[in-house]
Amino acid sequence: MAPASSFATGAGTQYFAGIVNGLPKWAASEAGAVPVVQDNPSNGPAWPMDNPSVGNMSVVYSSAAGLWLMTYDGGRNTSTPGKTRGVYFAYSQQPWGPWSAPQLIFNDSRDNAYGLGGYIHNPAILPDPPGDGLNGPMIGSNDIYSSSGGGFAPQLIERFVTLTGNTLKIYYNLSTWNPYVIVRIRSEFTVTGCQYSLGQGGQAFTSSGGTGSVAINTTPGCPWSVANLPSGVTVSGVSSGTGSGIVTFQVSPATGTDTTSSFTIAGQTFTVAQEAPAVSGLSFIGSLSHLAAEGGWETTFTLVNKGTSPAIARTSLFAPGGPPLSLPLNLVDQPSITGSLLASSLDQTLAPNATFVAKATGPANEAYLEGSAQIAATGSVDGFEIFHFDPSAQEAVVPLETRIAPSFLLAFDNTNSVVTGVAVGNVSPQNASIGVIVRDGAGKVVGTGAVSLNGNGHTSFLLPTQFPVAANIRGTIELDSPPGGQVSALGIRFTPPGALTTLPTLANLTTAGGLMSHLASGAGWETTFVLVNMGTNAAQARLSFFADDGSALSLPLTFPQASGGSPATQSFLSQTIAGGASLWVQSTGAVNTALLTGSAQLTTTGSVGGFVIFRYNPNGQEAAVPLESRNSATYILAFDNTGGLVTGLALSSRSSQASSVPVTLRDDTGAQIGAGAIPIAANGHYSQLLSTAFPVTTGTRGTVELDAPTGTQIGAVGIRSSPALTFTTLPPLAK
Amino acid sequence: MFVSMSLRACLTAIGLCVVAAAQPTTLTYNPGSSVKLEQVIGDCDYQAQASEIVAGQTVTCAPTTSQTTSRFDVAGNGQGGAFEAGNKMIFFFGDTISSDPATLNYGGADPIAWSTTTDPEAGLLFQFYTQANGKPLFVKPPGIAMGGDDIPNSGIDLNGQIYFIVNTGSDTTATNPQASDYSVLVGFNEAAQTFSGGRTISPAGGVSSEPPCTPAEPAFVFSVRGPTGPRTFTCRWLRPALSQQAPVPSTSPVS
Repeated sequence: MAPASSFATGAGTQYFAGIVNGLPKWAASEAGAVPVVQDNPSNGPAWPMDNPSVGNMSVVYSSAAGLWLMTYDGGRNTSTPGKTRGVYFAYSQQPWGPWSAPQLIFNDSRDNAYGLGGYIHNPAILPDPPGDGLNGPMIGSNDIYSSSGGGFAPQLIERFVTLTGNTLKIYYNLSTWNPYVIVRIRSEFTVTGCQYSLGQGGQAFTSSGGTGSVAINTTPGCPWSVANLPSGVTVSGVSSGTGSGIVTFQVSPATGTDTTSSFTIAGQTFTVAQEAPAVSGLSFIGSLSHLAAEGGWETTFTLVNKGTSPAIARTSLFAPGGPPLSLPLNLVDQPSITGSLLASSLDQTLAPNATFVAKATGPANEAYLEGSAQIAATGSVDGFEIFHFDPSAQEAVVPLETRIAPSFLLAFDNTNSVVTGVAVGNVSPQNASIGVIVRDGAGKVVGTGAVSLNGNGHTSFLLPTQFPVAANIRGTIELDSPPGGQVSALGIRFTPPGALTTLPTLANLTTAGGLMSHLASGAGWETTFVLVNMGTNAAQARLSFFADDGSALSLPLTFPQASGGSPATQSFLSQTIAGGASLWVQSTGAVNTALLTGSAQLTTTGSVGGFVIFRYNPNGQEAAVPLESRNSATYILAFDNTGGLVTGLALSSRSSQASSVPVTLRDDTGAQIGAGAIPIAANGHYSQLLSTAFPVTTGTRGTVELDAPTGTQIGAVGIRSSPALTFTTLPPLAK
Repeated sequence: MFVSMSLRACLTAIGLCVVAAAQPTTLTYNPGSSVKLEQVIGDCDYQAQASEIVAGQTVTCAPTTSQTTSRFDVAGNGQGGAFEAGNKMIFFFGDTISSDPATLNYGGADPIAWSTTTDPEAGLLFQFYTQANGKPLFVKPPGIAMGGDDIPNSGIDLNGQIYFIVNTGSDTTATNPQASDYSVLVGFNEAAQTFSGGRTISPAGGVSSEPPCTPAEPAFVFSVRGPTGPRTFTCRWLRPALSQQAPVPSTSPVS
């Protein structure tokens, strides 16, 4: 047993030294170690004598069964190998044992795998060829006809272990030697004895209370009862029983403050969260215009308290028609809640600078659910969510929309197999008819329409499907808030081979211009600049490119629009953009050219905004970089370097002088875990993996705060890379 | 007296309840339930082809889920162990052969793959990590021999850092090729697709004091989701004497 924190060095490793009075003993040195399992013990647990070898062992934990499961190949060296050789299985409540007597769960001959009709070669079937037809491939000089196959190395697949009723199924890869391949096997067991699990870990209620229910899962005949009911919670159905069942309970209307309580069913803890009737200072912060859960989708909400006082944040979920949407939320930072909390609205208190992460998942075999969310808070809370599709590991970010704007605009590209999706949320409780104007790249109106939504309603659609005039062109779609109403919108770009990328939503554009904090061109990378004139009159836009050291960066540019211009290599782009028009510019270095990275700055005479999409062509993944025009003194990036996720940081400056950007690092509780500074040249750019720049962020979740030095405008963006090497933008939160 | 009897009855009842709740779970194998679901390496299912060969029929191809030969030039190998890493599984394999070992001999190298498959009854879809030339990325930490019989045995994801435990030190020309084996921790930088050699977990001969264990057995890492939650990963590594794999001839089915 080794501490995770020192696993690499081995410091603190303890060795299993036996079981005394049912508890494991540990030794500091390997010399004190004793076997955990043994084939031919002199004084150990009973272990069959007819299989004196344990090979290629595999162990996993089944949370459903509450057991550790072991497979190994054994019985090789017995005098009757045909009868005892194969895959053995044992189980234990603890990894150190005592382990059950092993059971032979797979034998080549017994289970019809060996020879004719099977999948493991038997050389005794002659003549060969054809023999049993199972000939090769083989490794090395082994003869495909005379070499006997044999099942070995049964490797359990942890996530595939299932317990349904009293049947446990395990799945394992088994090597077969001849043919020299691997097959996947399923074996089944009957479970006796009592195990218990709850359908969910808890349920959240609004202040008015209501009826809740939870499934208690166990094997037939196993007793259970409800205990430790808190004040305000009563069982409205049966409070005890045997076998699987449903516990129904009633939660009374709340008084006082937000509460979290719990009760138990068969010893399993169930959490009840309830909102207070009134939360002082709670006000609307913003909306998230799309979420997806179940059916393989999950949505992770990330909220950050940017203030110096604790704040209550309320996350409210809405179905497309506008009613509350209940989803199972996994509160990532609250391990005391086992399983998910079913909620359509949830209050959470965030300490100063703390991060709250909740993951809406749900069963993959259930119907896909979508909707929108609204955030209210008592303090300076900001955030975003990321929706993720498990089968392909693709994901996209949804920034918290805090702007109130008469119109939102999305720039789209529906050419070359790229398709744009649009999600729209009605943030108002009143029904809304949202005006839609579709323009082509030149700014010409090519279509109009409307989207009708119920109060708090939501819709999502593929743009070319809903508005066929938008098919096979580039352009913009304008979504107009109804009088007295408020909407939010999101664009999603689907590109071959199936990548998802968020398109930043443009609104309230001014002549401020701004910074695009990252670009990449060459060595497989491609950057697309998108500029949009939201005004009605033509405007001048100048986009300047800067290298890491702040010097002018010459980029090879192409113009995919017919009227865009001729290919050129230059360090700036100056163009007049007609009212309502959009300009798409690409920079693609050849795969074998050096990688160019840097940033861009936009200046304009009109209401021009935009964004950057950078793409890695070898795997087709891409991410967007919004134009930063807020000129905030401080930006916060919420990072997650756990579970194989990696966060990248890009930073750029607009200044006439070099500076040093102070950095404050915090964990998800808000506690400071580090500080530093990033030197940056005048108009310079910096990009690095966060864990490389600041190793203290390795394996953790939290925030990085970037403060603009006096006289310097900075822009920042985070990029999250998943284990599947997808990219997702982490929006900078302005403090 | 009434109280005493009631108390005794209550205690008895509680005792029964405790016994019921503490009843040990037993798992009993269902005879005949072990069935092959699929062949996961190669392009075509050999069992399906064998029946056609024996019947003298034209050989067709029942395609495997992952098409590992045509997609990654992984035609054959063994092992196939898995561990959880984030939202995906990482699989490690033993000595691997290409579709044409005469012209492309991997030299007993060991590829790795990942999968996000969640349905155990669906096909297991591998994505092998690949080199720039499209061939598999092999576990080859600098300075650590990973030839024939030197293979990854297990792996773990600890807070985003991926490790493999590899066996090394095999001598395929020796009578007992694995007599001098030892186990080494290998770090894997997934973003850069590089490997780094780490500490020796189990030195050769390190367990000789514990009969009847064979010297030079590998250490094992138990890579699990812990009982406290699906995102908790618990590491257990147990001393090498977990297994006593007897020396085997090189032609035996041992990866």
